[in-house]
Amino acid sequence: MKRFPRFLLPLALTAAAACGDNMTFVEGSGEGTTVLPCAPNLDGTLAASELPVVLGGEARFRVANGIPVNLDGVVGSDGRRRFDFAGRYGADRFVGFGAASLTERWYAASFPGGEFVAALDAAGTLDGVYSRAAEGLRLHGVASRLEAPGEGKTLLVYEAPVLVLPLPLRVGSTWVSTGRVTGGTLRGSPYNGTDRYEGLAAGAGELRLPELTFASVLEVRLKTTVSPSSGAPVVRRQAGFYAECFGEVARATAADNEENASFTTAQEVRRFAP
Amino acid sequence: MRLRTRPLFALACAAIGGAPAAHATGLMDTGDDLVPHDDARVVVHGAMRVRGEALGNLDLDRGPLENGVPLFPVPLADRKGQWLLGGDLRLRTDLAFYAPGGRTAVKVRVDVLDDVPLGDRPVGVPAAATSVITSGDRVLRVKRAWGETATPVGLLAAGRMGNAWGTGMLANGGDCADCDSGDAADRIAFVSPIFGHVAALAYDFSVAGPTALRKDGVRSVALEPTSAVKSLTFAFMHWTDEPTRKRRTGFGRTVFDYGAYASWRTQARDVPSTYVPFANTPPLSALQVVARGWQALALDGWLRHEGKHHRVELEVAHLRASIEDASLLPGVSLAKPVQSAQTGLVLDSSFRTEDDQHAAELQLGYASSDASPLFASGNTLRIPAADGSTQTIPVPENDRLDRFSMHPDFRVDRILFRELVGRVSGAAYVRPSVRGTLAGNHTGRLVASLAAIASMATNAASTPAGKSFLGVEVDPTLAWQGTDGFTLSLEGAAFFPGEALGNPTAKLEAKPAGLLRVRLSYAF
Repeated sequence: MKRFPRFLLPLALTAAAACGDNMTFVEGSGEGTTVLPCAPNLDGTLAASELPVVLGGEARFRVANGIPVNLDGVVGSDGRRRFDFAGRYGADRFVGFGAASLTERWYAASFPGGEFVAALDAAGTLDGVYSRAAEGLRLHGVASRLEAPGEGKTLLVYEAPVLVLPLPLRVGSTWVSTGRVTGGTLRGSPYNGTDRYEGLAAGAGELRLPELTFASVLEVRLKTTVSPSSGAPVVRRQAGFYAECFGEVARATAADNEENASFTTAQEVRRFAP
Repeated sequence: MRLRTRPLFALACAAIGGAPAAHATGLMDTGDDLVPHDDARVVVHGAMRVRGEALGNLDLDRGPLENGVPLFPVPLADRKGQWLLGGDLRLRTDLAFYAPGGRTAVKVRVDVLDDVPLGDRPVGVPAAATSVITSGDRVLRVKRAWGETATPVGLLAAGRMGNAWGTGMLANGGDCADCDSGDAADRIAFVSPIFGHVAALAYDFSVAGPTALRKDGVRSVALEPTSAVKSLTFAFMHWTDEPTRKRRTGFGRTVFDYGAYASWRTQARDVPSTYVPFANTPPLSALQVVARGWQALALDGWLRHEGKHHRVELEVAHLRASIEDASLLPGVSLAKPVQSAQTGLVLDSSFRTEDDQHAAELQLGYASSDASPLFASGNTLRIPAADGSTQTIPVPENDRLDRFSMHPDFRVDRILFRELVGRVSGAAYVRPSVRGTLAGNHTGRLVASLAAIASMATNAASTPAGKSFLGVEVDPTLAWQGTDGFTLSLEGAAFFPGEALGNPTAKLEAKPAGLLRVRLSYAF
């Protein structure tokens, strides 16, 4: 038998370096997609295809309270309206918001038509249950994130889902929808009532945020009148700014029972912050 | 006249970065091909290359990266399999057409079956296939086509030509036997000898921007002049062609060459929807034009000192750039501009016997880095979609882009940088090697070499584990180098990953990887 050539030894060693089974590959991990799902066409209309819903992700927002805002924006010499939300407030805190699948939630069985959930408040204690339909985004109701939170369980199911964002949406779009809750639970107490949603795509323009500027957003003002079967109704106002392919990138919420549609102090301001 | 024009041609060809000879070997070639002659001539050079390889555990058994993708593909069916096998081929042809007189030439590089995998696209059912389909964009690739003419004051070149400089660390024509890509520039260049040196001025049409067909359906017109990327380069060098270097060093003399260039590149606006892959590509309109404000300056210095027993080569490059708005999405602007300062360095030295039968080499390299992930194909930004859900778009993660990436065809190893990272990027390495001739005769010689590469990340935060040490690789080679143009090369590599490549999330250490590659080359 011939002796193994010495100069081939390094080559043989390199081949042996990778022997054995691959023990760590994770099933399902792949090359990842390189095609971006949505490109804004900047036509001033928010189409259903420009509101892609990706479950499981989370985006970071700056959240601050008690902030002065200008919801009307400023019209520049070029005729374009500019909304300035670029201030860096000392009270800013960063909160992650994201859509998630409904199926794993404790309240899933109560919302047979729901598709996904998203947090309603920065603390993440309340979830809104949504679905997408031909006419737009629908809200099926509200539930507490936990089944038995300290402040008591909340489970408010609308008899019929309400339209909270019609699609396609353009400046001047208006809508009104009403959700009725019967036999609901609010913070552990029985609840019946009616929620009336009045929406208006009030304007369009450029939105400046601390890290980004969106050349084209729609400002959507939503007035919600919550009328419990017993007790005084509560009016809540908010202005949301929607960008094509991004969804809602900023939101200003007024204190309860604010009368001015163009309120100047926001109880909470939420701004996308990559 | 002849004695005057020959060096002028040679120097000019060298400086423009285009391949002066038909084989198109790049900037540092002799360029002594525009010699005066009466008749028209055609010269063809090239090589047929066939490569086979076995890749073992190139995912390092360390689980996927944060984005869920393994470091390297693993077998489809047996996800625990360790080996991937394959090969490819390429026929490279470099043609030069010389006009009568020899003062004007047109040169073309055409690659046939360019890196097409062996067995790619069988005809019919694979198990029963008796042939393969020869079609697709890789079948015939015209990579360069340019013209050169000598004037009394210098050489004027125009067209799509190779771009190479110095060690090839930054600008690389991809002319080496194992190279796969290579730079090509659509360029107009004027090159002139001055004070024993060569000065070159080149203007590159780097990117035209979106185009539309004219009424004849053949020609195109660029639709947005401000989206064009323009580059202006000035180079100055002292350079000696290879035969002269060999002759001088053979006589015991030394040769000292050096050069430097400055390149300025700008782009005012951009139309990202023409190159970013969107599922719903919007129609071209003014709304798709975004402000870019890109300005970049590249400075590069190179020197080489060579004698009978030694060669020392050094290249240092520094790149600075600013991008007023780095967003790749129309209608979205990033508030903060992106700044970039990158530095790369290569020091290559070799010491050889007088007959060049044996040599020892030492190469050092450095590439600056920032904290962005070493293995990401690009920085990404998570953005909200409907109701707080997200999608991901590629934009700079922060306002700094400081990682220097060397050219993919500048090869220092076979696994880590070549296969896993894709190039030397954000890392420093030291690479000692030895080479010896085991046997030889008039038909060729059998050469063995062994290289070891130790590498570290220049910014530990850029690695998966947040550590610096990337690993050690050993690359042995055994090659038959025939004098008739045939080369058979058997290459191996064993990579022993360092702690930087571990997976702290899954608490896994990276495991060794290896490869074997055989390369047959038939040059003409």
